[in-house]
Amino acid sequence: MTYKMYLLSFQTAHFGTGKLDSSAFAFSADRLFSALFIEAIKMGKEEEFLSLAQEDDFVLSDAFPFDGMPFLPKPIGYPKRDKLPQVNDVAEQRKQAKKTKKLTYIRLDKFKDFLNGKLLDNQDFGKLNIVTKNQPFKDGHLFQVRTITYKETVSLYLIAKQSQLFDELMKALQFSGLGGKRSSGYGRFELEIKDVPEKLAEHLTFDAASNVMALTTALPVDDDLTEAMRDGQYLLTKSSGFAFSSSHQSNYRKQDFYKFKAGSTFSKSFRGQIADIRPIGFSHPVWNFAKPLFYKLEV
Amino acid sequence: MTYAKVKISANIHLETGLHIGASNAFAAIGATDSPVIKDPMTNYPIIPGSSIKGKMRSLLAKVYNEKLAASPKDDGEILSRLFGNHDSKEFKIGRLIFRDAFLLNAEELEQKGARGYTEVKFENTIDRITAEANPRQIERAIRDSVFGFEVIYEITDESAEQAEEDLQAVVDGLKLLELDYLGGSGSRGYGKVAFEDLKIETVFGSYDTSRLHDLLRTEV
Repeated sequence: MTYKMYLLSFQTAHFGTGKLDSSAFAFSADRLFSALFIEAIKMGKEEEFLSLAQEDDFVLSDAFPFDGMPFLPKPIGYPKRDKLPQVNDVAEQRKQAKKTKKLTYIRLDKFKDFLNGKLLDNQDFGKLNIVTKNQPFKDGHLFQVRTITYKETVSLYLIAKQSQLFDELMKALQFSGLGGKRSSGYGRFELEIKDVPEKLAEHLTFDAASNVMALTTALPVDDDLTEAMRDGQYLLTKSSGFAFSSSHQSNYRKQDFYKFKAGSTFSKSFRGQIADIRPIGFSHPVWNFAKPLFYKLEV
Repeated sequence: MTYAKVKISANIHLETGLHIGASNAFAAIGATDSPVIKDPMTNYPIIPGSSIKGKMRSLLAKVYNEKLAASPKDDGEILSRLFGNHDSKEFKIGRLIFRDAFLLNAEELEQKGARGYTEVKFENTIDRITAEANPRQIERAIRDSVFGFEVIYEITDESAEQAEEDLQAVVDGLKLLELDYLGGSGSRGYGKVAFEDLKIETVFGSYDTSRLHDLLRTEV
């Protein structure tokens, strides 16, 4: 199993969260998978890519920031109550709780401290910006696009199993871009492939029986779902929208698909799936990638 | 199976000041009332890819469309396949990908003595009857700024034979842009641009661009 770290340096991007005038900071694995799949179709290698993705040990992680060192999502439900520093002042306690609630990403070298109850500050990775555009000489054609501009030192990284086909698709994607409004300048990136730092690599797993944190927005197969929900602490996120297809004239909506957000914690790992969420009566499958990669919380 | 991506890059040289407006939430009395769009991190002016794409498309629509198109979805086949057409099955996503153009020569401008990268131009309206003036201020990206322009063209099986025709249209678009203006207030001098150091290269896959080189050299 050779996991590699793919560093993507964006300048400006738009990763919609259901609307054109909203943008997430980074993207989830299903967005990348769909983009790669469309690249694969253009190359005529979609069968090959699908069978690669369905292999048991093929996993993708969501994208997280990288600024000199990788960052990880905040584990949901951590730190445990007994690890938190004892504060008697209620005002101070609320202040700390708010601060931890707003924290989104944690630097790899401070991750252990966080689990042991240390308070961390949120770091600034870039700026959200909103731009207004229009179609001249027409009424009611004003619209707004939320974009994110990254700091020069900040890039996004994801972890995936390296293979020749995957690398080739990632290289092609650099020039197509990722995210929304690609044809008018957003979502272009430069790719760099690196080894996963040892401190991170030793925690990665897709098959463990101890406490784990999901690094991918994922959904277990039906058999594992009850158990994952019983012991897990998670947030749900909705993935939906229009299906892109060149074999249907009008645009159809995909079936709504709810998944566990990256950062959800579980008592043991589960098997994910690549779900088919095609609209009813559609002629070809529409895949949604939901196979998780995990981070072992305790070694 | 052919699959390739061809990059056309150039430097956009501003021959007159450029104004691509931004939405301004708040303007103090006496301050610029129509600012230009800027990069939020560096605060340098930029040319958004959507402005170049929109302008080029509407210019080419006057040349390549056989009949007058009331809206972009009525564009002819050449424009639809290049720029995309949400109404057609096969061209939902066009073959071209434009990029935002960022300022390249900030340091050089500073050496030349520029105090900032934008200027504020005072203009006014004069009433024809009362001869009363009504002044306004417009911000512009200064002359001699150079922006990096880039467009990616995608070649697949379907487009392999049409590549030359498509790129000819792109080159025509650049030529038309030089004869027209980019951004706002172009009828009073703003936004004259020149495309310099036009380059074409294959960045992914294999496609022979040597014949296209000649096209660029002769046309622009």
